[in-house]
Amino acid sequence: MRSIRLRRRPEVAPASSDADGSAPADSLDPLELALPRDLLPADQRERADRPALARRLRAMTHPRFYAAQVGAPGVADDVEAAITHFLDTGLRAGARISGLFNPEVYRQRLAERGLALAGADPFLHWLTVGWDERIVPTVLFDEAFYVGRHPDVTSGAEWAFGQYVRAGCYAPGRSPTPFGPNYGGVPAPDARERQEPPLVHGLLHRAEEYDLTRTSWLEEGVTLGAAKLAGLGSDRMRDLVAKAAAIEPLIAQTPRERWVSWPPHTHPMLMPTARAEEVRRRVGLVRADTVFVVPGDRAPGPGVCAAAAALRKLEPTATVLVATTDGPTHSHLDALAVTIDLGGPWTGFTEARRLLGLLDLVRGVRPRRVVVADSALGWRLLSTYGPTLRHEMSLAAAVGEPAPGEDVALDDFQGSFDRLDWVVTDTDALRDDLTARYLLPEPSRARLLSAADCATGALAAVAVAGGERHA
Amino acid sequence: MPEAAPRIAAILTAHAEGVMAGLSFRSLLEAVGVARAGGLEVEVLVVLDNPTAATRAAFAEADRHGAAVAEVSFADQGLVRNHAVGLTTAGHIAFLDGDDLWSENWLADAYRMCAADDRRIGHPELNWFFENQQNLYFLPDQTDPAFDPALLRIANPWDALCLAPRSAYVDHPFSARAVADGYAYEDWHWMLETFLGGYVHRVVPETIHFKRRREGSQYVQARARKVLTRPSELLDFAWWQERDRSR
Repeated sequence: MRSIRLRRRPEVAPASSDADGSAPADSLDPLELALPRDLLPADQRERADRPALARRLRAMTHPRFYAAQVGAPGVADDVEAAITHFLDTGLRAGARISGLFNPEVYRQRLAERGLALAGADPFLHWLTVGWDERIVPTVLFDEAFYVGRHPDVTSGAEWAFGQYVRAGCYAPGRSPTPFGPNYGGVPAPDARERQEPPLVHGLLHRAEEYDLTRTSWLEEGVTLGAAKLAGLGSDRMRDLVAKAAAIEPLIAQTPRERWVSWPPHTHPMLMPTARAEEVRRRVGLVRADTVFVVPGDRAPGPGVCAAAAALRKLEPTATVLVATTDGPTHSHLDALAVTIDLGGPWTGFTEARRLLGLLDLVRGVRPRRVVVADSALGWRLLSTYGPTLRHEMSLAAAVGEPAPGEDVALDDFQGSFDRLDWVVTDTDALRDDLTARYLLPEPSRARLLSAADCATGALAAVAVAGGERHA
Repeated sequence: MPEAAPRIAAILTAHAEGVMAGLSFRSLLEAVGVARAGGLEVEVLVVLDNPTAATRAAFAEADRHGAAVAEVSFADQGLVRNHAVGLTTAGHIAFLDGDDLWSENWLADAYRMCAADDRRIGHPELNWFFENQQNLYFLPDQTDPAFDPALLRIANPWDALCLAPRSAYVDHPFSARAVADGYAYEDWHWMLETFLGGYVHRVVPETIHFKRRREGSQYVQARARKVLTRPSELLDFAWWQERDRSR
């Protein structure tokens, strides 16, 4: 596996873009490449090594989408390698380097302008002729909708689609069609550097069912969704709406903002569902006695380690699942545990969606107890859904010793303690501090243990009591 | 000769909608008119759950329109619906909330689709939201090859304003709300249970439900509280593993 090459793309000031709608040449590091002349339109071949074309090609490149077509995982995280591979072999093999270019859509729209490919490669024809003619080569971008929704894009010289390719497709709130901001996707922090906009997830969804060189799940879905939307213009549907609006005029009110969704094809919960299914299949288990929710990107603290050891001693044959929320590192909490990484599959999703994923896992394996340790997402699970989950399973937590200069995460502790059957601290001092800070009376003190307490068997009573409630 | 049972029960439930419920009632009566014109016998029931005086007043002359009115005190939409089913005799039942509207063809077209199979539940093709939110939501058809039932674990793609055979409501009554314990979304739970029970959720082409979205609706309140749907076998990974094996 090649390491990820992160290359910061030069900042482009759209207002000062050159006449062709791409960025000014003097602000870029031109890619040294030449497009294959034989595949260019005959009257465009002298432009084969023009930096403007290289910039367009580079902006359009989506390495992961391309890699999935050509079976070259090594280029999935490398823009330059993907371009080189594309020009060497992929282009002539018919692969698409961009999820925002569809050859069939381009052919149709070109024909609508009275133009034809005339033997040129569709993508190279678009890079030269189509871009200049401002032909949008994909169903994933509705120019009129985008400009109406984001009128700021018309203030510069940049073409709206060019702006979307360069920046809009990486922005969380940009809506290229009525089907939601960037199709419900949330860009990863480095999405723009990796040239992996959220729509790539949709392009690769159910990839095995599509010939990605021609179409994809997302493109098919948006095409179907647009057709569904167009159906509202039928005489029958318009008549039904008009009759209802005769009763309630608000129905016919011009919408201030209108999103359209359709679950089999365009819906914000489709990708979360796919990730939840990926996790379910990967975990393999259908039952667990205990689920630990830990960050995974750092070593587990003494408190949670002591709790894991005490529980293993108490329940030698128990099934233990360790869910890591922030990193795939095995936490080595329990030698017999099954570990499932949630961080990878849920990359690029909001915390709210990631929480749904954790919730799906936790309810799916029906554990007797869930123990959260240092995971922010885990604490969010306790604070948000703890009042409900405590009816289905025992809830517990481990509180780590704060780093020097930091305070212990009191919000997490005090927001969840009342619904937890027990809490283990890393140290006696932290246990005593929390006891004193909250003036914990005896029944509550019995639920607050230190790592050392666990080693003496003190966890058994509270863990058994909590577990029995949910046996 | 005893009269044959009606084919459809059209049930409107209301609580604090006041005069606005009259709009929903008009919409219901128009759909009933279209169904009857098509030869379908329809019984009409209005169920008022702890109604405000204005809501009660809105239905003061409902009998003139051929509707029976029942008043209950559940403060729970699911329990109201369960009770309402018991007050009707029709083979298929359709619910309408007191602030929503049906397209006039809803009852007739949904019945025609569902009558062909006693395990079929009909949903409108489109939920047209209005007032505070104006989105369009095309409901999914369970038989669409693109439909992934795993979505049911993450979200509820349908709602209870459907037309379903009586057996679906009798065999799978709505759960009581228990917001204090963190459980709500009784519609969602009903979808899970009917799915598990072998009912097939279909979309009735060219039908629309017009749904008013107001601040403070039960749905909005439930989302804000971060409550969950009750446990169901459909949320259980064991069920999904078994499903994987059987495919």
